[in-house]
Amino acid sequence: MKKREGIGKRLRETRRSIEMTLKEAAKKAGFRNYQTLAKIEDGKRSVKAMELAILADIYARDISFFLSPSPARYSFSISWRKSKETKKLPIIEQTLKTLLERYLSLEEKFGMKERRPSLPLIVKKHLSYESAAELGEECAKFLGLGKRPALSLSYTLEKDRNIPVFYLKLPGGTSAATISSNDISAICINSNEAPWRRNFDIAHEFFHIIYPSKSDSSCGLNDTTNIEKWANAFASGLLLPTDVVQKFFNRFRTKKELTVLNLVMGANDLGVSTAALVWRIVNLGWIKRIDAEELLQSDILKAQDREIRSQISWESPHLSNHFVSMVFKAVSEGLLSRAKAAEYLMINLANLDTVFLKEGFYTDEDYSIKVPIT
Amino acid sequence: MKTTVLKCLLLDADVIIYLFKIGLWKAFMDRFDVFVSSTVANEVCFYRNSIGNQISIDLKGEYKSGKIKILDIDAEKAYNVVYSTINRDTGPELHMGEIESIALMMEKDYSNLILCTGDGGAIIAACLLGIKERIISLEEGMTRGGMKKNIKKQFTKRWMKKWKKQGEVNLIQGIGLHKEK
Repeated sequence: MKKREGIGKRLRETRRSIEMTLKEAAKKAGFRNYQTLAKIEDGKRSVKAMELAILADIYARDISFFLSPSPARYSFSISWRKSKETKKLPIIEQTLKTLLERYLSLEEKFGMKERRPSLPLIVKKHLSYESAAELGEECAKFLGLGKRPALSLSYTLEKDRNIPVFYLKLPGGTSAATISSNDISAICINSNEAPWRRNFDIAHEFFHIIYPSKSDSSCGLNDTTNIEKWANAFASGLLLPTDVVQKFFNRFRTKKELTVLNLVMGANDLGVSTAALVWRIVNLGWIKRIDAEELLQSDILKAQDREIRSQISWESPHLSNHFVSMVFKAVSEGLLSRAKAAEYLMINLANLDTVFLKEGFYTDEDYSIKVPIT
Repeated sequence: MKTTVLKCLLLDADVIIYLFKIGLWKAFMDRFDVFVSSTVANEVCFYRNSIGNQISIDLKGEYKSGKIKILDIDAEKAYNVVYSTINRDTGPELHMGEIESIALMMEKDYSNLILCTGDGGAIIAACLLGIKERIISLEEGMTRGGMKKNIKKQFTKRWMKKWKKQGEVNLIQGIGLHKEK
């Protein structure tokens, strides 16, 4: 009886934490009347397995949270990058926390936690726009991002640095977030954004992870605080290091001019917005600010940008490439059931094979074959 | 005519989805008394056909027409049946549908239920809980029901054998069990 009360209490607290009314939750869960859910929350009625599975799904929690209460293993802080008008995002915050909890749980199952690589940390407290961009360049080298940093950043952060990059459908006016626990940070990106915008957001959020800011408060999209300016400069340097831009620029130097098409195609090739490339070239002193402003205002550039970008797929990874591969590994080792894997990936079981296949994992293969290492 | 050797089959979600996909669902219902846990019944709502189109599955309709039986159990009871023995951190992590199915099988009233699954995690869990004799592959079920068709590896006898073997090893070595057990 006491345990039943405990489950009920947890259900109520969780519902309230995501700012959902009893009636809303009962309706979503398919209860005929809200009094049934009230009785469950009061501990006056036991909760059926199916009911708890549905409620856990609505509340973006794992069932074990309600049934196996143990002190919280992780505490998370989330910093959003969203416009001030955008409302609080309790259910998305909970989804993000649950995703990172699941990520950490898989890490533990695989014994990966002990092997987590350290991150470069920015030790300087005060930066300038230029020094932030230089740090971005240094980071690009340190991470080994190659000739197209924007296209390899997400993969490198996930695979080499163990920083998961989660793609979620966030409401308009919200572009990204960082979520941190005691010893891990993750980035959340709005999957509705354009690919080049997402690349920039990842770089921007990466700055927030490695910059020693005490504040975990959120910032606005058009925030002009120093830290936000530095994060943008850092992102610019990281995605467009001097040598990369130089290589692009040198192709046109002999002609002494850059065409709009060159710029649009170049930016597209580098995985950044045309504006980002133009401003980077301005900041490197290779074209004049006044010319850049005029160029970016021109209808020709806008039209060509639209035309070329319309050919690009906006499809983002499902949640996170690395997370999907970890889930697949857990399934193939018998550590997660397939239905639980679908729950981890927030999809219906019928779509599981499709999501795995997109990452190159064919579920009908036997991955248990082992080869001895000589 | 329903088979008398193997009568009561409790089906896992993946098996149901696959039976619909290969068009054997009705044949299965004709040959066996089909049981489904309430969580699985709620979870299975569509399958994708060979060209990827989503086709809906109405298990609740099948239940209303008396073709299948849906069983349920308290969440807490189901969870304790499985995770008082299995360590969730080191052993298989199951979906509530599988937890409910396994817990139902361990109820006195359902001691005749056989679980039909192709899930590695669920098979290992059944081995750790000492009920490995009561789980079969879809291929086994089809054979016993007199059906024959080439099926996905995940649903074959061979696949089941492989995971049962893994489950037995885990049981002997105590992998995935609480330390005190």
